[in-house]
Amino acid sequence: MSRAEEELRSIAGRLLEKKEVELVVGYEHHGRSVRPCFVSKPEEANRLVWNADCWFNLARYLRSLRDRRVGIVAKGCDGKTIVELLKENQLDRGSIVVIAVECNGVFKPFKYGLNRAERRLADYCRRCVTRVSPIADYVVKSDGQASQRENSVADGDASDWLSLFRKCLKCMACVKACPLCYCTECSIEGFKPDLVHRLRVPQELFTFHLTRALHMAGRCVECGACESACPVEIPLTRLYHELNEWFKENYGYAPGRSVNEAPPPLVFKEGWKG
Amino acid sequence: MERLSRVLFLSEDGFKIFLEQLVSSKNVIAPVETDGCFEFKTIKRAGEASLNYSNTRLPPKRFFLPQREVVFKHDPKKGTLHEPLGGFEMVLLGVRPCDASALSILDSILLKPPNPDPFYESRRRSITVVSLSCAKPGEECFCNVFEAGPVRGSGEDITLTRITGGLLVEVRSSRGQALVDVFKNLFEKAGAEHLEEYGELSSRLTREMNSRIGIARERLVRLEETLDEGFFQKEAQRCVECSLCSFTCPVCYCFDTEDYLEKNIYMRAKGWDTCASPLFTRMASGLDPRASRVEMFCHRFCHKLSRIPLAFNSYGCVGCGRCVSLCPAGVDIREVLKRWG
Amino acid sequence: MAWKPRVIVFTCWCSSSGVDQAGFEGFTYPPNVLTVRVPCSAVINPSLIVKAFEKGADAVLVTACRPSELRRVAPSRVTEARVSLLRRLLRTIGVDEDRLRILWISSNEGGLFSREVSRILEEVKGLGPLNIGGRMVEQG
Repeated sequence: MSRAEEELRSIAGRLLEKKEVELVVGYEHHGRSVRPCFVSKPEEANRLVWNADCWFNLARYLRSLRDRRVGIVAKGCDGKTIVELLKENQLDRGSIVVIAVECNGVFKPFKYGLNRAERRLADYCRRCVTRVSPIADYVVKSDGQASQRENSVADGDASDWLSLFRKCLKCMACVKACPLCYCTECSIEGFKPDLVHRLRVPQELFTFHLTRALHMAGRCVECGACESACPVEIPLTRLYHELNEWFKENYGYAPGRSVNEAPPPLVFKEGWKG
Repeated sequence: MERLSRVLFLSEDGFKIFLEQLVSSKNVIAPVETDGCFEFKTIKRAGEASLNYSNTRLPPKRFFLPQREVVFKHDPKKGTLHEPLGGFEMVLLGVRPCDASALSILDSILLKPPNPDPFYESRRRSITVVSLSCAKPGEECFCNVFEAGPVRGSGEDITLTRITGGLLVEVRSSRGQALVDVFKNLFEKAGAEHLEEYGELSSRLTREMNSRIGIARERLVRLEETLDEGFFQKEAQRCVECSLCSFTCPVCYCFDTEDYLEKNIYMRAKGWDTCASPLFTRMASGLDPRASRVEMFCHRFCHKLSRIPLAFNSYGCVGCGRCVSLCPAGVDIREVLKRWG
Repeated sequence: MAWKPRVIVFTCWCSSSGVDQAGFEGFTYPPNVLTVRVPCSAVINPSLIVKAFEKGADAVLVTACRPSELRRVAPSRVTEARVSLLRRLLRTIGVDEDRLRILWISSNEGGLFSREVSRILEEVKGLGPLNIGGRMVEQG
């Protein structure tokens, strides 16, 4: 057990013991990887782990736990998600205790039938510069594990997006794993058959992915949950990153930096460069 | 479908020739490697097939139950109704025993009289399934629980097993026999030493897997009666309703139909649906009999492990391990099995 | 049959009278330009532009009021920003961004509309067919 894990467990245990939170959302071991877990008793806090396999964005669960006081183990991107959700009035800051853990990047998840033993740093982590959550009540420093960023193999360049879209199963895993996709009626799931039908029609996958990209533009915190959940590994975060770049170039805005920074589409004013 | 069982031997060189001749004479679909993971694709050359895979990411289900297929087309101007029955001759090579067993489960469900699915039936009739035994079961596999592997499944036409010097060929159906007959001169009669090695391999792998997870599956049918709400409530909390489990499951067969109007032709399409989606059970009135996530979550396991066995006498799971490995939230069907099995 | 580019034009209420004006004044524009009139350019959901491409449009043109002629907080600017974002997205996925344009048209600028549309059509001819629908259908 690393020092960071020990610190994490003691913080979580203390919070639960003092009844400051009802529940701590964290990661636990599962097979050769980790999975999200919900700890509600102080003695269970030693189930919590923290390593480079923890790719899932735990902020995904916060909306469904809105009526409870929750502690959350947050990487940089989980923290950015919480900021975005707070901006969109989806959460109450008072009921969340953020245990920020310093992140050196996570691995691509090891998935079924993979013929490769070596682990690669996730593509989106290579671009990420946020190591600690921008919003934090406790901070757990990483114990100086060498950053994986330096000695990692880069993924191939995705150039033919249409053929990537063609692989899509329209299983909606990207939408459902995304902590910021919280619409109860998703326009691309089949609630608007004029736009995208419920069943997978190959031509409509173009509209499907572009619409999702447009809905994520300027909101996506590039946590890579969609990309990692995708069964056919479409590098979606790369697409959303491009749109975030557009926001950065035009408005100097990046999602998830601070709660006080209003999203440009909300406070659109004339005279802004567009 | 009658079951013939004939055991033959195919040498390593013979297999190469078999593959080449097969590709040149028939439409062959085999696993192809792209960036470390495998998928079933039509191959034009024998070299394209990569047979050193643990399993394909997605099951071969889509060749039998396409993700979307048109059930009928109606032209109101001409007053014609057209029912396109799919299925053209092809050979599905290198299916793992678990995925092949899934086909026999689908047979018992979709071909059950009096109303067999004509689309599935026509595809099933025209596709010859050649399975390749697992030499090294994957980390998440538990096919032993449902007797769907690791060496021999139940829905294939021919089972190939790698042994020293070549492959042991077991002909399982008349369709398989027909394929073997085409390449008659390549096959030899299997010797006693081949059968012995096969037997050893089979018992070793089964033992190996039983040590990982060995349960009495007969007890699973009680799952629905003895539903432990606490356990499921805890597990369901983790679920994000992403529906990956059913889209990558070789058995999941639930479907949805949709009506389209395209260029003044009415079409009805049928395609994969998933119980994880809120749209699955919601009715036009807005009523949803399975509205909560826990109910939906229980439903998946009850359906697979208790309702399908009660109605069709086979389990709705083959233990391929896809849902375990691909689930972003780490929901694990093996935990349900261990608890109730 | 020779390929003819199909251009979808989304026009706002005001600029649609500009399009009508082109007819009144006797200007011509090619018949493979289809106009869709919407109440205001700012209600054009970018998804619909995407859908137009999927359904076979080779180019999409959005016409909107000149920002200087508007009283409110420039809906045209909103449209402009959306179009600019969508152009970036199209470029990312490898579709020529010049297939999507925005044009300021006032209600009396029929001549300008006819000139611009003909020019854009010529340019799209140079870019060739887009055929998203056909390219998205699986091979094999």
